[in-house]
Amino acid sequence: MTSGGDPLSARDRLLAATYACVARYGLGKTTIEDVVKESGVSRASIYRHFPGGRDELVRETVGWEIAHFLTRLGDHVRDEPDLTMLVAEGLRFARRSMLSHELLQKILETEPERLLGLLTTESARTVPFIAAFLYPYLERERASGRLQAGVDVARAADYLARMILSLIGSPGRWDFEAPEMLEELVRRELLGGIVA
Amino acid sequence: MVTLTPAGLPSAAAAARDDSVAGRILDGALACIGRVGITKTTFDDVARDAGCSRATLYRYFAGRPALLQALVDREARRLEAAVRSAVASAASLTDALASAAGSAVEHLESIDALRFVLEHEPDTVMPFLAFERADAVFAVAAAFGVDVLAPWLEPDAAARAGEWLARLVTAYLVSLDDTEAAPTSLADPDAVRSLVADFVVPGLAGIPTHKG
Repeated sequence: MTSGGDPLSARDRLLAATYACVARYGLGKTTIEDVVKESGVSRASIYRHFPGGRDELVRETVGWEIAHFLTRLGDHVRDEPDLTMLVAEGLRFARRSMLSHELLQKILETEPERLLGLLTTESARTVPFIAAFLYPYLERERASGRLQAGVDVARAADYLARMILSLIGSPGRWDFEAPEMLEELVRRELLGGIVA
Repeated sequence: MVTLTPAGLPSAAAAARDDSVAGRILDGALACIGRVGITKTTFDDVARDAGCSRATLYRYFAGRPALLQALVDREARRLEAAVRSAVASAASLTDALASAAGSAVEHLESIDALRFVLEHEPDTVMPFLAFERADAVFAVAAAFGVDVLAPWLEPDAAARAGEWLARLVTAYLVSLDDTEAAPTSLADPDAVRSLVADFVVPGLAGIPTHKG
């Protein structure tokens, strides 16, 4: 761990400290004072990094944890041999990760409104992130002649990103642990108009 | 707690123009929200807009949550009527699915109150379209799909289509400009129609039917 001279690591240290406070006290009750005690960083320094104060700090911490989640997800699927298997495994892993994320489940139970409000703004960043991740895999399908004629890769990536995010949060009728069901969903609803 | 799932499916007659006192109150609420948003809309504001007294308001609605729930219920019924009507005049499966989604987006965009809330207070509405609450909305949409898509699809495929189109409409309700961090405007109904034709129809049209 580097000392406080590097602004990037100082910011990360504050986000990690805020995360620890949220785990202990909850989203609503975590204060800047809590973060000061947890991180050892001064109040003034915290406001320098997060001029919006407590709310900005909490918002950025949610974004930080989402970024970690997406990184784990990306690492898990990046070596899948084709897009169909990548999307299927991605859905299964993402849903399972969400359900086993203790802090997320605790907040959904104790203070869902607060979190859901924050997730709204985050989805505006998450969709483009997932779309950007899928883009090269769509290009690879095209290069292998597996993409339907006339598919616009950017448009397809955006569609998949939105629908995948919707499914991860609200699977509805779909059980991602049932292989036949998962394959149906991926081949038809998700890739039916994209993959040949 | 407000929910987005009205009890039962609507009839066209029930969703028609509502000149009753309750209807005028709900119109008043829509007008207030369209001007100042949900958070700032008070019971008194609504009474003023509806041209009635607080006492009258309380006769019809126990409080602000009940009023908001009734508003959501009525607008959900109107949405379903708009979609049902659009699908009824479809000439093909592609037309039926595309017009279902397109008419839904068009109808939702015509509600000034919803535009205001989505643009300025998205965190008040989005929680009702997240996690288990979205599951409930999708289940209603699946049942609605079985109902209106019967001329085009077998029940299982129609249920899947209903859910998927509801997902698509909610996922595209706010368009995202990928150069900005925040959503910019409501989606274009024609863009949604062509999304359905390009990405949704091929997969759903190919579902094998189970005939005994």
